[in-house]
Amino acid sequence: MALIRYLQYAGRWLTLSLSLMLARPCLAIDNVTILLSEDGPAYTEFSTQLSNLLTQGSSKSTVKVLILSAYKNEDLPRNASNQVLIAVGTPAMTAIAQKPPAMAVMNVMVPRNTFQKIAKQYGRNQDPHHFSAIYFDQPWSRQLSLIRAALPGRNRLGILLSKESAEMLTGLQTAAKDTDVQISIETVNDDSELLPALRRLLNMSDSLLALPDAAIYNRNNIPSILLTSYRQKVPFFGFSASYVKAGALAAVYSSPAQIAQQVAEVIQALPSPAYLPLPQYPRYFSVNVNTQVSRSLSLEIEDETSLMRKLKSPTERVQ
Amino acid sequence: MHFLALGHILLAKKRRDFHSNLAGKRLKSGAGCIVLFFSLLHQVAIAGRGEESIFLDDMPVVLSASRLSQPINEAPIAVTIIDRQMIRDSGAWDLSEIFRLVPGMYVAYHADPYYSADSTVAYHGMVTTTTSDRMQVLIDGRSVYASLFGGVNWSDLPIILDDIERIEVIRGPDSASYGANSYSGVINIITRHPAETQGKSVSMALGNGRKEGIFRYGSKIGALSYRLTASIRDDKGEDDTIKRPTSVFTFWNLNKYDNKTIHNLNLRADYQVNSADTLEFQFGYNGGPREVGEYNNVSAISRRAENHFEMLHWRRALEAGGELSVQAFHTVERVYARLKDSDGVSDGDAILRRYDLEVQHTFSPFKNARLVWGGSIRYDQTYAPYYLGVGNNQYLYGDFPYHLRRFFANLEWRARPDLVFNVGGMTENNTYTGTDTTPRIAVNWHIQPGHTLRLSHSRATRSPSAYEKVYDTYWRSPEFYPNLPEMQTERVKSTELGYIGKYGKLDIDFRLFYDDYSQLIDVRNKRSAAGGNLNAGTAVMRGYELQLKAQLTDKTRLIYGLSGGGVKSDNVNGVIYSDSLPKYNHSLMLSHRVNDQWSGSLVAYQVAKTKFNSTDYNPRENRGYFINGNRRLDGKLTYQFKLGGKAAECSVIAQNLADSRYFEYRRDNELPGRAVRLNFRLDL
Repeated sequence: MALIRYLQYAGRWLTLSLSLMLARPCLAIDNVTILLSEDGPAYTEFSTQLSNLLTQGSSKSTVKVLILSAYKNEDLPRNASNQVLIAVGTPAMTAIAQKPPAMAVMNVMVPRNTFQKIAKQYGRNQDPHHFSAIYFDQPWSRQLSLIRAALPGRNRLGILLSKESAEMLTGLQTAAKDTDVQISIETVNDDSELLPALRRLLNMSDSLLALPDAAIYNRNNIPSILLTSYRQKVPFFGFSASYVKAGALAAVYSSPAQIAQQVAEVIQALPSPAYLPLPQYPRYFSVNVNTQVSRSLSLEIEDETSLMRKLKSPTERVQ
Repeated sequence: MHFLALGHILLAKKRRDFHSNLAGKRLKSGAGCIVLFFSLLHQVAIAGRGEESIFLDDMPVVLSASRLSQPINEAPIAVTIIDRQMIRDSGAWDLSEIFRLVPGMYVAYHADPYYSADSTVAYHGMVTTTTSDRMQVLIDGRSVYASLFGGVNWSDLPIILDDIERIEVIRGPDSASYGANSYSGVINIITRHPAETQGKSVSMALGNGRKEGIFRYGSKIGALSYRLTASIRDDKGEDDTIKRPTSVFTFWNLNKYDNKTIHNLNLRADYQVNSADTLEFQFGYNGGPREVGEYNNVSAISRRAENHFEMLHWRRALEAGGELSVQAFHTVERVYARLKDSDGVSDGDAILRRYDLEVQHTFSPFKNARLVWGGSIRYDQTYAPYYLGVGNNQYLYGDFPYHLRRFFANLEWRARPDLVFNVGGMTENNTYTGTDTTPRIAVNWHIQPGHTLRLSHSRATRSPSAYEKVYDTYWRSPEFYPNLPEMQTERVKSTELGYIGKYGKLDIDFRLFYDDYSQLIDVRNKRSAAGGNLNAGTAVMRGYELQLKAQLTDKTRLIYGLSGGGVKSDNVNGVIYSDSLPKYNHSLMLSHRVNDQWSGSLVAYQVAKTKFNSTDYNPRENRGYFINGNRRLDGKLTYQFKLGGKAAECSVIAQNLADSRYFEYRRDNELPGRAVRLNFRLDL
């Protein structure tokens, strides 16, 4: 009896997986809803790129773009089996986490820490395959590899930390061990502590890496941080293109369009009852270098393309 | 506009009322009300923007083109950089003393007895006046080169040593970038950005005849950072009579009147308007009693300085590292003096005003190229009846106007990764001498990583000071030489070959120079006027300069400078140019940090004998004489500690440690001997 039941079970499983395999090429997901936190340029860059990718070529999914301020729960389709909701940005993610829809939710352009916090807060962390994410942050290993590739031999890295970013530390330290980077940390709890802490840190660092921590890295603090480290001839690594424009030596980051590319690929590979991959880091990224700064600091740095090449090979193996 | 503004205010008020009402209903306690009110506001502020905004926000462009310094191996000219650490380690009391560390620079303590008891700082000799009028001096891009005699009165500058971030000394003519008067060199002083000087600090110094108190406060309000520095300095200068005089002449046994009280107040505020635009505002004041005069025949009964400046600098960061900058400043240098001389009591007031506006645009016209171009207008007004009263005229009243217009451009082109060309020049037009163009071409070749050769050729000019122009008019008057041609700018053609190398932790900067000077001005001498040319002077200067920077260990740094060369000149009309460059000139600075508490530095200077034009009362009646070579040793010992959790520092500084006796610049300018002072500093 047990054997027959087992065979029945196996047969059912076999047909299911066969049907899944057959279903794949003709696309299981035919309805994608994009919920934007706001209609700012970065958000529309994402939705435009994703819509283009999903409506072009062999795939024929319908894409609906909503904006959080004008969004009601009724806007979402009831039938959820072949539906995916892409929540863009933290406000959209929070709204969706509070009132979970029937369909699977992919959160994008959200910091890793925020995603984990919100998912935990609203109990959405139990089922990551239906409430997943592509983080906005780069994996630590990729950021450290950039520093290693840009400044070979200068492996003493300084990190400014506030209470808010303390939880990022474990991941960073693990990556540092793997990449043979020696990390020094100074904690800042108050704006008045910023300059003294930064000066102590600069004395023992060959370079500085910014963390996405708004308590330290904001518009008002960035002149102090960039000028002071520049005077000490300690190169600074940011986490967005605008940091490089502001005066950071280099940064690795993913643009909204690059995230959209990854989302499109994920969607195109999804089975019919959407079963999302686990939360992951961006797959596509760019490297920017401020050549004026590197020249002024007399640093011989490889160009952006060759740094990109160096970053791509190891990280792809990791993923 | 008014209606709109009113509307906004009403709306804001309404919103506030709404929030407090809401809060009031929810919470009975008044304190809780306020807390909730603010927390509500806080939430409102955050809700609009997701936490991902940190990845998307534009950041202000901090290190814009004009804030980034050019590495010395890419500069079209030799540059010595004096950083904060060097300034501190040097133990300098007066700003002028720092320049002893620059190869080729000659510094003479309190050498001028006539206009201000100030130091002479001259690059490459040819010092024909105590104010050394052949070098340009800029503070944050603002020219402080004075219109009256040319040159700079160092103690009259509204600047405090500790506010200086770095000093870039351009060794060699650079009129192509900085215009006329950037003749033998340029001193570029850059002050610290207020974002780097936050918090309070007090500093006190006490030593032989010297006292100083400095207070600094730096803070930030949102995107505005500012700094206020105030100081009082009381400097008794030299003693009235020289102790153990080495000279036999009575006049040379007496010292100058050089007591100074300096009140300084400086404000710098930088406002980040948005991610592309910054506004920088500076105000500075320097005032207080300053003695002047020599021996007992000329002196000031009363004399005080009242100087101030205001400056506004707007920068906009453009695409691809470009920048647009507009800078405007206004300077007033005032002296109120009652002077006593052989004619009795005289009014020695002088008022110098300057208005200046400069626009500069940096962009990349094509791949691997950067063009800096722009223009400026300046208006100088010089009122100095006593000092301009040349010849038999006792006073010459009037605000002497001087207009200057400039257009400049420099193209930096990286033809190959290892080959950088700099081509540029400046065209300027001024009231005194008309239009001049000063071009430059330079090529830097990075032979190998860490080894660069530089070859450059440039032309530069010096335009006459108000004093020289008045003399020119005086000689050309009908009673003297009406056919005398009008005075022209001084000129120089400069050729240079430099090498910049890096050997491990040793940086080498070596250069050979060949400077061909012509049309050198001499107005004081009747022979020049009678000879029919006030621009008769010529000189050829050849020499070398070496600068070494070695980080011997993590804790020990050595900086060495050496220069040498010679001047060949016909010394037309008896003006001394020959031998006015010391045969050699050394400086050696050794700094060492023992541990977190103790650090110290030793600085040694040696200058070979040098020939000067006499500017003192000279019993031998010669136009020029040699001043013997000298050696000098300075030292500093610092102890850093915590005082109630705050960083504190105590140092003892000894200048002229060996108490050596020697003269600088003039036979009656004997150094006052060893000067020791204590300095205490606390960051609050």
